[in-house]
Amino acid sequence: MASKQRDYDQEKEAIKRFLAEFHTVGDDGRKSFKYATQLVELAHREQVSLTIEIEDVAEFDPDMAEAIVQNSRRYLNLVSEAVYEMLPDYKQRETVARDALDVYIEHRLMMEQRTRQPGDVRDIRNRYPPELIRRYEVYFKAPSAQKPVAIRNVKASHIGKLVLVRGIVTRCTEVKPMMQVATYTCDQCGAETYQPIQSSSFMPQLLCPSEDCRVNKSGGRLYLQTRGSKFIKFQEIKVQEHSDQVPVGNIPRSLTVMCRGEQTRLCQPGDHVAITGVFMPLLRHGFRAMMQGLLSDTFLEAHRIVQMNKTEDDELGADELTESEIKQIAEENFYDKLAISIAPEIYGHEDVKKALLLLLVGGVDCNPNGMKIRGSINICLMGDPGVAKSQLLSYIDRLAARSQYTTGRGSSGVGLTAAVMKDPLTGEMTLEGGALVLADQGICCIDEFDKMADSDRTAIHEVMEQQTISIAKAGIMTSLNARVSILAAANPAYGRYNPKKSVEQNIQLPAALLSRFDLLWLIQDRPDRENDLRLAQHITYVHQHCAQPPTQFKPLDMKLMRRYIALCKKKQPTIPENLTDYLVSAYVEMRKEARNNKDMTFTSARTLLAVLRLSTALARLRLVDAVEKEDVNEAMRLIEMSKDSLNHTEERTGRAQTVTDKIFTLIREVAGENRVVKLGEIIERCTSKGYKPDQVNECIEEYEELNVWQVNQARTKLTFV
Amino acid sequence: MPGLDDWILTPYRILDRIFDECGPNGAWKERTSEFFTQEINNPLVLKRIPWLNETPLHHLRPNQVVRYRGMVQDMYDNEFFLDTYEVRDKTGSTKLRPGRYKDIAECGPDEELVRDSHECQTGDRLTYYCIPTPGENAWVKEVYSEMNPCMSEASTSSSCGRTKRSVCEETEDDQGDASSGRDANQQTAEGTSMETAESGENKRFRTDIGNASADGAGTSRHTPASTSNGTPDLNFPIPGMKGTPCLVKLYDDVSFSLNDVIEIVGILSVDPSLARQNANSDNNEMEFMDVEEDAARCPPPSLVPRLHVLTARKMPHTNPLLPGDVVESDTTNGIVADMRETREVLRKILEEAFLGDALTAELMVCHLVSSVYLRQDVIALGKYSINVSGISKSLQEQKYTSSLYQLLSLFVTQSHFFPMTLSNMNKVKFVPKKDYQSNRLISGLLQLSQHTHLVLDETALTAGQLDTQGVQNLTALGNAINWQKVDYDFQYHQLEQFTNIPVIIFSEGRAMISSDAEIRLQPNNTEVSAAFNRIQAQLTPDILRRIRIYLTVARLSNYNLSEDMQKMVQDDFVDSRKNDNGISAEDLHNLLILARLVAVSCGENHLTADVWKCTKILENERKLRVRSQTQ
Repeated sequence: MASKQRDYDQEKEAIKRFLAEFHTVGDDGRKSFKYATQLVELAHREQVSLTIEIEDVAEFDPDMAEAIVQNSRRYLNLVSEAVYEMLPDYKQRETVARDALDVYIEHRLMMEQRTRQPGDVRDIRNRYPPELIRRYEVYFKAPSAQKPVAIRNVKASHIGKLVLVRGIVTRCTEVKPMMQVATYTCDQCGAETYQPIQSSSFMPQLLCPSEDCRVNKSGGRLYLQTRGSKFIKFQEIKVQEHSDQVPVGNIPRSLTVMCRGEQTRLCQPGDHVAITGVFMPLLRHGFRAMMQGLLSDTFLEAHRIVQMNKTEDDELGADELTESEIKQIAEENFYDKLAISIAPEIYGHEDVKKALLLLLVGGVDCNPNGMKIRGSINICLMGDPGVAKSQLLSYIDRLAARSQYTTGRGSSGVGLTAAVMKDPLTGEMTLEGGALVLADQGICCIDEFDKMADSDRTAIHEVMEQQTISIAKAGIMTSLNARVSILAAANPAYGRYNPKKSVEQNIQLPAALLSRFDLLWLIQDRPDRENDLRLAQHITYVHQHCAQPPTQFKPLDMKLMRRYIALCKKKQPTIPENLTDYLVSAYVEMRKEARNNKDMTFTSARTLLAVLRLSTALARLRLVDAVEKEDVNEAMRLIEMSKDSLNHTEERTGRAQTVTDKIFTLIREVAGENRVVKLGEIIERCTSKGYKPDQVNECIEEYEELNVWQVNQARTKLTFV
Repeated sequence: MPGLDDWILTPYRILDRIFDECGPNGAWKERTSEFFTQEINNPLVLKRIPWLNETPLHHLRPNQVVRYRGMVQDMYDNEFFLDTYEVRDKTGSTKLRPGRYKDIAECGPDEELVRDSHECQTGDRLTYYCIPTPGENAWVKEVYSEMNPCMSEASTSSSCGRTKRSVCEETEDDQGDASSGRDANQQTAEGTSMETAESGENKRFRTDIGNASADGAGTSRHTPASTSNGTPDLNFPIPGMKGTPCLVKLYDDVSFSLNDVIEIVGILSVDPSLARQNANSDNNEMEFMDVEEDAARCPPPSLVPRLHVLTARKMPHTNPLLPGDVVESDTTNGIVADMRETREVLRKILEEAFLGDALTAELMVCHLVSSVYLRQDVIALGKYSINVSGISKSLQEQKYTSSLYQLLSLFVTQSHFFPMTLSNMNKVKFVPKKDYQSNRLISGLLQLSQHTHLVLDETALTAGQLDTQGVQNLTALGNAINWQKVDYDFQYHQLEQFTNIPVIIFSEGRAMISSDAEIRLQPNNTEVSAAFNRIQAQLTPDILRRIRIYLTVARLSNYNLSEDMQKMVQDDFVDSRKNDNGISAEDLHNLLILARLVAVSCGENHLTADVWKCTKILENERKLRVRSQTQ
């Protein structure tokens, strides 16, 4: 035992050296003594808590840092003692007494100096316990490299060690005073007795232990002095592990955390926190200890509580993608690959999935001259019942790092926007955010968009363009951020989509709202031999092998997708000058076409913005800093396809128009009055309309055979006959 | 090697012996667990261990080895205990003892526990709250109790005729029996005072119970006992369920999922001092939050005995008529052979029960053997929930639905009948909810173990107002049927829990909640009681036994879809798409599932052309009926 003790004495000296000497060299070459300056502040009672960073200790003495993590409680006492011994040296001026306890301590110290001779050893029982005199608190901060332990993995082997856990606060008690040192006075001799209290309960002392009373056998009774006792703030909280740390089929576990002093009132139920603390067994006294149970209760003594934002704690974005993962993603046609990895169990709908992928990535916000142009992409999926709209929505809800899923009807009184609630206890008015507010900087999936309440519908106008929600209710006027992408699903008003009617009529939503969607998709279920066969193969495969059929590529892991999307979001691509002309001409073309065709959708300035958003999202997806022409083409193609999905339905009624027919009309349009057209021009126009080059070539060949036009040898020009 | 009964009745002796042999730092933990596992793996030995479910507590000795089967209802936090502890006797000499598999330190009369000794080792163990399998049908219980070894020699004061009394009463009784009949050396010096207090209480209970039994009321006894004791809610998903829940302590790092049905062999621990809330009221400890929590988590061991697990395994099925691992054992071969025959018998009976409706009977057979076999992201494949509609007023008046349920409960191992009355929908808790006050998962009706047949009777529903709870309940029910998942309410977030519960809905019109298949009942006659009387005559013990075995075996059997058949199915689908626009991917899924069920129920383990054709006919007929009704 003796050797051990000496060890700790040495350690204490080392700690003292560390506190006094540890310094960092600043940019200007001057040393800044991190802890020494803090000690000065402690001495002057300007600072209460001293946080020792283990990283600093490790720099000073790696062995000691390890020892602190392994045996935190012991070192906590050592550091406290060291600080106690060092503090007088750091006192540069007299401090003013701050509270009653300060005055009390001051008096006692003065008394001691006055009455006792120097060198006179005071009776050990009546000596002032260091806990009473100390007015500072020492805490450790775990090194940032230390991995947080899942609450379910905090085991017996962690007892006495410094651990870092993360979780959600489920309960917390009021902050209550807890007695740290009980002070008694004797009714006979007037001597004061102190009793430091370590655990949650204590047995009060009754008989005066002082010299006078013992010698005289006067049997002095002790009375507790509330004013002279030292109390410390105390709070008990419960932390439950995050749902993503819970293995499937398990119940989240929780941990009791005791907070003292400065660590109290740092969190509330529902907060996400990271807590560093010492895992300790709870000492039991009295009756419970006598029951001879073999159980010991444990708790975490909090050293550092940090509140985390829900988005920030998402570690997925934190780790850089590894080489192999980048490789896995950045293969050929990674765009298709990513798109197909969205909801792999839902068959087909590649273009819808591509659009959803862009929605997840989002476009770039821009704020020219204070005007705010949103970057988030809104998509509305329409379709006959039973075409897996809801499944797509719920998949996106799960994939997105931050999202809310609601139905248009809204389940609670809060609805989609926000509500003012009266707190039943205090009578205060509080704002409670609805789904749109909660999904800020994320995605709000709204199913049954068409069945939305009128009040929400008006609010959503604002959300979709200005990205805020203004509330003027019950005397509260405020504007809440709702920077959300809206993914809506709507059923046609008459059960099935009626192609003869316009979009507004079909969904019974005002055009003002519909035009705010960047993309409107109509998902329809139409028989088509080739597709049906593939679908059937897919389904039978699933039933047989209990797994997805092997496609050209394995769908990407959801976690990897999430991380990749987080990575994409960091990019802020811009549109280069030379593309503006191209964009403008393309937009003018679209407008012209919309005027000519009896289009069921709208083409407005918003469409141009949509193209910009989609193309920036595409650039983000490629992790580049500038938008390229292909991005714009692909964005226009998607918009064209989405329009197509709405207009496509007409075909069933009229004469079936094949792809070739449509390309032909396109080419005629391009040609206009001229008899000669450049082939490159044709292909460019056709791709922007959503046709593949081989389809175009097919068309050209077909009509060449019919002698409608001729193509020159080099296949660069096309001449009408 | 100690005798058999020796270690079953006094397992601690083995533990102590091995501990002494190995020394406190030796491999005693491994050796003990090895010893017990080896013994328990011997089926002959296993047979001699009594079931806690079937044996009243007062027939068992404290600290003996028992078997238990139950569903994991809740998982508590890790529990920390002294793996080895030190005792000091009067002379001051200390000794180490093992603390594993124990709740209470064993101290002699002059010994005392040294808590702060450096020699003590702390260990951690998992605690699961297990409840008897919810919805377990009477016949299953009967079979188990027949298999239960007679434990009369172990009990100290047992009188015959007690076995029929309700479990609650037995446990109350047992408290008295256990404390009075306990060996003197097992009583701890400190425990004595408590025990006397307890037995004093028990006397009062006993008189209570005595009065109650004079009335002959069997079911209402739960109430007086529970109120006078402040008994914590035992947390059963099905209200009014009976049985002994257990706090199961697991030492090895085996992990089960919530709602798994597990079979445990463990050491029973019923020391009364484990109930923390008793006698603590005058104890002014400054435990801020733990008070309610302890009350809920440490119920009196007479109600919730503790079990220290020696071995535990997940039960793939709960049919006592079959050995644990059906797939490997040879016994099933014989059963498979006459599966078709048994299926025919069952179908006939069901046809009679559905008043001559052959189609409904056919589909019901399929439903009874259905089980989720694959989950892919959001889809659950293999479920086949049915909605038997068309139960007319006249049938309802003859209590047709409950008679049907009675019949079904004779066949399946677990089932529950839920009349969807308005008040039931509004009041009954469906979704389990975490209560942070007591730190427990408050159970709800949908917390059922796999293969528990939930029978919903929508004919009981009347027009009226559903409140918030009711709407939530309905949504939860819909989710459970369509996606086979229940979102447990953890207040700050929801935890998705997969279920595997086949659901039948009886309704007059089309049911409110959509199901996989709606079947319109077309009865040939309306003589309900006559039909069920005829069925009763057919149900010989042998027939029942065959049907019960058949259903479990069919559900667990393997199935595959050959390449050729896949091709055929695909072509078929494409063709039918051409002719009829209404067929979607969903229909193909359903058809494939039904085909699987038809094949499996016939004892086939792969799809054949016949089965496929047969399935299509069934499905078309069903659709036709539904359509003709709506037009």
